[in-house]
Amino acid sequence: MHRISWTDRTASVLVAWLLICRVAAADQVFDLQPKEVADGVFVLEGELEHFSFRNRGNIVNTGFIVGDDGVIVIDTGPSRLYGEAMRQVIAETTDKPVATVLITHLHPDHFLGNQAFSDVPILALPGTVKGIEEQGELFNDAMYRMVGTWMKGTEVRVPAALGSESRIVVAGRELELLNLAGHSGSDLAVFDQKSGVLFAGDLVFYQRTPTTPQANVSRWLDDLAVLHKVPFRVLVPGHGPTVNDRRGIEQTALYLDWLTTNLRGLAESGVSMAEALEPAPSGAAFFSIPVFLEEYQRSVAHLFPAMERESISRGLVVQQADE
Amino acid sequence: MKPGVLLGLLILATTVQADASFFNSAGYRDKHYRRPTPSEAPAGRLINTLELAALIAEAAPVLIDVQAITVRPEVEEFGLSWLPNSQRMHIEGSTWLPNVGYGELDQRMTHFFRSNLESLSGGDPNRALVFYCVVDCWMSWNAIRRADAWGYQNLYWYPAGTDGWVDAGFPLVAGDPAPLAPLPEVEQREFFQDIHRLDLAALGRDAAQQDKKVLLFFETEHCQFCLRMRRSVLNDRDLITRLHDDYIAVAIDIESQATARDLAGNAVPVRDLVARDYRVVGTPTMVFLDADFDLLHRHSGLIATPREMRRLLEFVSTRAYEEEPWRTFKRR
Repeated sequence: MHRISWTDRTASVLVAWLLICRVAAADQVFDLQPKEVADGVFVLEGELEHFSFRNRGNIVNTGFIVGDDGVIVIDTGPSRLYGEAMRQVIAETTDKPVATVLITHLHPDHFLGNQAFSDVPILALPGTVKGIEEQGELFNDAMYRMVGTWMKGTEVRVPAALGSESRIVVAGRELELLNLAGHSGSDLAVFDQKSGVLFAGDLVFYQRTPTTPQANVSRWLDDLAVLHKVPFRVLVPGHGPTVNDRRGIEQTALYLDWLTTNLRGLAESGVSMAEALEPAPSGAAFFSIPVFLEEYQRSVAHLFPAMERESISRGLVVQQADE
Repeated sequence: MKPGVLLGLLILATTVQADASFFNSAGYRDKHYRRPTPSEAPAGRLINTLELAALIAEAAPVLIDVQAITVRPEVEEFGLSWLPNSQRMHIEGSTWLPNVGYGELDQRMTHFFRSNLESLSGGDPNRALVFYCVVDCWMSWNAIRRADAWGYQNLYWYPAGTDGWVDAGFPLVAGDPAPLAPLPEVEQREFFQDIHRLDLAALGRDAAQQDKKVLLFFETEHCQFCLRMRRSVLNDRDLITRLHDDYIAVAIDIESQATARDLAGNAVPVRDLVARDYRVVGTPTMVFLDADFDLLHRHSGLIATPREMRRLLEFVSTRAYEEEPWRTFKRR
């Protein structure tokens, strides 16, 4: 781009022209391609990466179900711009209005697009509502730091709390709500009985290494056993490709099981946290899954200290006095 | 279970009304600096990209980039310095004054901002000044509010920042932060008036004459809390100014072998003065006396920050110690 000379009297005309070009481009901040995974059920798949300026925060799967007389939205993405782009994709896919939004959990890539749906009910489990009230602003701070300008205009919108019912009917669609907790402390999975699609939220990661900052892993493994029994035909993970079988559940469970068994073994043998950062060869099957090393090392930080304390308190490891 | 009907529980998602808590008592934004900004300037005029381009062409304003970066905190040991973690790109001709848009500025940053504004404006309060950072950034909002409070009258706020500028297709250039300078020496005043160090009789006369109270600061050379107070509390400019309004302050080394003069003018060993007259057993100890050398208050132990020291001076000057202990007073 050539340097604009400020003494040039035509500068403002040029400015106006440039602005028009840019406004046209702004619609394509997110190139969201809806994938129809079952009749009338669509998924918008994100990158298998961490948040970055380059991927604009789009690392998450969101989705929507076109019901009899309205649309049910599952998660709203990482930012206002994403939410607006999602809303546009929905409008291009169906004439039916958005009826309601369900938020699976409190993590920022799943709810910071809420502003684009402020005219419809946005609902989440009570634990998720509380979590967003307490941590939402901090998540938004962190997203601005990582994603920068693509967060433009994003503010926290706290969802309203769902009741205790395990089934709801919305837009003529009967949805089973699974009230789970292993990934973030409050995790909603949504099973659309008519299409057979299960939106698993971040309880399932497929071909993308799971994250554990707020995980209770043994609870998470129990939750996966619950999901395994759901008679779904299509499984939409929170991150990674949609599948027609239980592979996503199994991969997540195998990884979490290896992660905790391996780390607990290391803690009990007195290995230090620094040494544990090098993944053991027993996990080789997971090494090629995207962002494995980063997530594994983050998980060491999340999980290892508690395991170390437990090993010491059970007398398995003798804490050595400093010399 | 019978399927519930959703309609009954549909409530619109609530907006967070936490905004008031994002500001300090002086009205400056002091948290969540990256958020959508208001559609009106807190002072001066809000301008968009087109208006800024025209302003640059016609009025050659002073462009001030206030994007924040890390500052090395090891002030005393290494000298204050900026630690940018990537190359900042900003509008050509801008001066980058990082961190002047935080909710609260310490005296060093206040001096940094004020002195730079003075030189950039050539001392002319009507010089056009433009403040910006990036999109959704309250740092420029705070900075323009501050400039307004200091009397600058021709202010422009460009909230779209470098993101808005580059979105419009305009170029950015690499920028470096303005250098941090130490506080000017001439403004440095000492906390202690050491001229009176060992002559309490002379000190008493001066205090009576100037109608000031007396602060005796008992220390030793090897007392770490004393050194820490000298390094990070007793050198605070604002504190020194306040102290000198009300007190004459003297530091006394309790292990000194020297001879002092007591209030009656008698020559006595410093150690006698310490033990007999002021009963000091540990350091740091601060003894507050009125102009007649009657005891007002005695504080033993570390005062960790200038703010806490100001609070202690307030505790003494308002005679709050007659009502409650320092322990509860300082927390309020």
